[in-house]
Amino acid sequence: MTLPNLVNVSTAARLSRPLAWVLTSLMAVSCADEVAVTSAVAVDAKTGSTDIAVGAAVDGASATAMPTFVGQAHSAEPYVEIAGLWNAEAQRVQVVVWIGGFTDLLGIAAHLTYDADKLELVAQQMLDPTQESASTGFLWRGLVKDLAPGRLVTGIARFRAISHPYAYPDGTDLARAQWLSLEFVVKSTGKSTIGFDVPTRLARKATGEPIAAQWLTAEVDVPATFVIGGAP
Amino acid sequence: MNQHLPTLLLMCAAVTAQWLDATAVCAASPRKLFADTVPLPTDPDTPWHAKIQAQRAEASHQHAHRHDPGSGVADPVSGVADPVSGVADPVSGVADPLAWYSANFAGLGKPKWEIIHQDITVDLKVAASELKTEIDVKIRAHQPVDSLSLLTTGVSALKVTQLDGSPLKVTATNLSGYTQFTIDLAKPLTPEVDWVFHLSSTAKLACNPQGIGLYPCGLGPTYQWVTFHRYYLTASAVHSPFTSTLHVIADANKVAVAPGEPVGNEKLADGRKVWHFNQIERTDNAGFAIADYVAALGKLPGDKPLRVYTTAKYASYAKNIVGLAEKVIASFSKDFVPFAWPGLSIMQLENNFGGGYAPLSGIFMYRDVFGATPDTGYWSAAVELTAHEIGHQWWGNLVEPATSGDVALSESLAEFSSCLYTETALDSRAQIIRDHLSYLYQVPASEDMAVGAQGVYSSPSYVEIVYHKGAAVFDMLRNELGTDQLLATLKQYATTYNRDYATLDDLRYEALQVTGKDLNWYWDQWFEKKGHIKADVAGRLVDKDGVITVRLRVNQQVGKPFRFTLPVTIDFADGKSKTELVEINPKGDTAVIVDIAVQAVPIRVRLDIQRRVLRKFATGTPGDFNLSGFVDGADLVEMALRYGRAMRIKGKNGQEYFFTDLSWNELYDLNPDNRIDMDDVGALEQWVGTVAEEF
Ligand SMILES: [Zn+2]
Ligand SMILES: [Zn+2]
Repeated sequence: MTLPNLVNVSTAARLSRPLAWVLTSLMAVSCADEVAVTSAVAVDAKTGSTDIAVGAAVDGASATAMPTFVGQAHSAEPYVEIAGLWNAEAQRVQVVVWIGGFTDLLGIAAHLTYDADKLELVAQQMLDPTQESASTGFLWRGLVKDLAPGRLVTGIARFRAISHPYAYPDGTDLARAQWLSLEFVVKSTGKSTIGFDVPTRLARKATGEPIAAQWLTAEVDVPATFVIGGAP
Repeated sequence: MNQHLPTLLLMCAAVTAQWLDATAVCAASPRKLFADTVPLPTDPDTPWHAKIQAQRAEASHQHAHRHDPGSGVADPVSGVADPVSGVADPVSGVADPLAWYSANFAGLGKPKWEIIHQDITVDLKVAASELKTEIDVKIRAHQPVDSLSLLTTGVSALKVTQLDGSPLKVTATNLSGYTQFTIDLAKPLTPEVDWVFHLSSTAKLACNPQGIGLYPCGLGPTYQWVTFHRYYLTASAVHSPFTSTLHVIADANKVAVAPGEPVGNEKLADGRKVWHFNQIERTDNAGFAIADYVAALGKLPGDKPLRVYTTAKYASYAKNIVGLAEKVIASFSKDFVPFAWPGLSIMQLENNFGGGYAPLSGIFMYRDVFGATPDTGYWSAAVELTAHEIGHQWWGNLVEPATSGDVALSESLAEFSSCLYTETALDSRAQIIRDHLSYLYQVPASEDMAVGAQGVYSSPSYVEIVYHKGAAVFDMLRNELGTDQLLATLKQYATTYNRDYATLDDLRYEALQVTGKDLNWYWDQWFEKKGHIKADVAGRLVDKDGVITVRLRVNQQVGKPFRFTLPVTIDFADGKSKTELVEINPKGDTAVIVDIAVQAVPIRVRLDIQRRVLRKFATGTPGDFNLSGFVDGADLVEMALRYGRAMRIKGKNGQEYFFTDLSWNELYDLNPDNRIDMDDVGALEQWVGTVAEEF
């Protein structure tokens, strides 16, 4: 059988640096939904808020122009949010995709898109929304891989730890949880959007029924004065 | 076509019972099967009851055509007058093409001689495991004959005389459980003048299961019966169905039951009773049973009687089977032709009987069916078996298969009829899906035979091939003809061949007459050849100047690819869905590419979601389950929906069985081992990011 072009970069090879810190630093924004909404709506990125959910330089009020990350907060449930920040120390845009407000979610998937001329993906990792394991009877399996420049296929689904004809798929309720983390370095200046390609957005219940969700985007703005490739 | 096999044609296998456990478990689960098996409307474009009434009226005016099998035999319609023809229907007084007097059984040509009638008295000696039989046999020759060869089940004592007791010259041989005897007549029989001889025999009953597992007789304390252990005579060289009167002797506290019309009982001098039955139809399938039976009565179309006989212990449940049988018969009378017999008796036997047996106007089934109630998980199994056996009142009795290669006309059609009934009545395709999977996963290549093969009995997978695959093959005809046209064909076939023999090819010819479609290729592919569809399926989305097309490639890497009609279901983000029937006609090529225009980018494309095609599919772009052209996260979500669904279990005999909740879809078995588990998820992860090759 002839096989089409395989993207020959394994997920493991992509993990150029440990991502554990991303979890802890971004965990700070996993506050109540209301707070997230308020902050995101109220704060203009240019004001330099310290709320990293909507983007700001974390290395203080430097005079140097830094890239900014502006996410959108959800106004409906269920939702998929792209949160992130510019980490000046690491010189990277660090992103976590959050999902929330889901009932009986079996799996969720989409093609994540970004401007490959402006951003270069340097790390990616699936996260476990519920920290389940074989001992709780369920586990999440996820995948993330480049399909083309600026297009990443990703998805997670909840599986039973055992395979049996009468052990039916079962979804879970998720108030707010992490799906995916990504790191980009900037390649050029200007604004670009990180989002999900509309026809590929999909969430399903364990019955197979599709779940309509609010899929949000985020904007990365690299100022003209920013020095590309600056050392961390 | 004159071979006279022991008639196993109407049996329902013990396998049926074996399946019951799984069915019960399945139906007991309160949970609906997942989206793929939620029933969709049947044939959305041709609602299948819409035009059937009109077609029925039309067909009954056209029934004059009869397919001559090409043997040079005179047209049976205008053949020699049957002594009983010309008599009006005793019930309605109106001449009816399906009425009892139209019997001729001339489809195999006129034999040299026939058994016209048997008057049979049976006396079951339980303690001695013996059956004593006395028969007056009426023979009619159509040519001068000086010897008659007949067959009965193996007897230990046999006496054949003239009616007045004077001896006849008889030579008997025993062959594999049967006794064949030849009467040499001093002077040839005069054509068209009936001659009666008397037979008296004693048979040692050996009630071990034969063939596919049904008990031929039973001598238990509760039920005593004789079914396949023949007590009546058949002609050994030809089919010769006969009318009969049966007299069953039983202890005074017991009741005897049998097919045909019960016409009372009387006390014998020794205190026992003799029960009388009248079989006015010609048939060579029969049986009787004795127990403390009580009858629950029902009504069939035309006010014909339905009698359900259970032991007293089951009497309070019998109304369920009465109600069920009434519904099934009403349904088949509407779908096919009206129920042909004067009435029907349904009789309970011991559980070890194993399944069901359906001679003309009588049905025997194992005990527990009669205890099923509509609110239990066992009910669907009871409905499936009852509907199958009732189906035989049309398929196998009204129209008999001409040869052993035509057994599909009995078993496959009875099973298909049952599936057709349960699909509507139980709102589920579970039965036909189980039949598909049974054939696909239980028949080793070494045991596979064509459904229409002569001697298909000889395959150890006979049941899976003829009952299960055969039913699927008739069900698939709905894809080709539409359900209403298939029913119109069956109606025409039942009319043309009522009380006659037919071949599979006769049915094909009827389909041509009714639908104008030549199904030669279908018959050739599905009845004359073994196997099933095996194909790789790949999809991709083509966007040409804003016109979006779902392009599918069906690739059959086999010597002779199958032609079939594939239901393709396309789901959209707005929740809408469309199903199209797509013709896959390889014309000798392995790959077929089809385009389906769509208004928007679909969220998934699914093939044959109701299992209307006898197939095993695999992904042509490995892991691209939703046929999007990419292996991505959506495919992982699809896999999560299909996770589990089947497993292999080892039986006591060490053999592995395939066990599923029926929502099994082999497409997701990426790492093929008849289970969908973490190995398959792992295999999918290897393919993530793959883009379908151009086609
Ligand atoms: Zn049968
Ligand atoms: Zn796909």
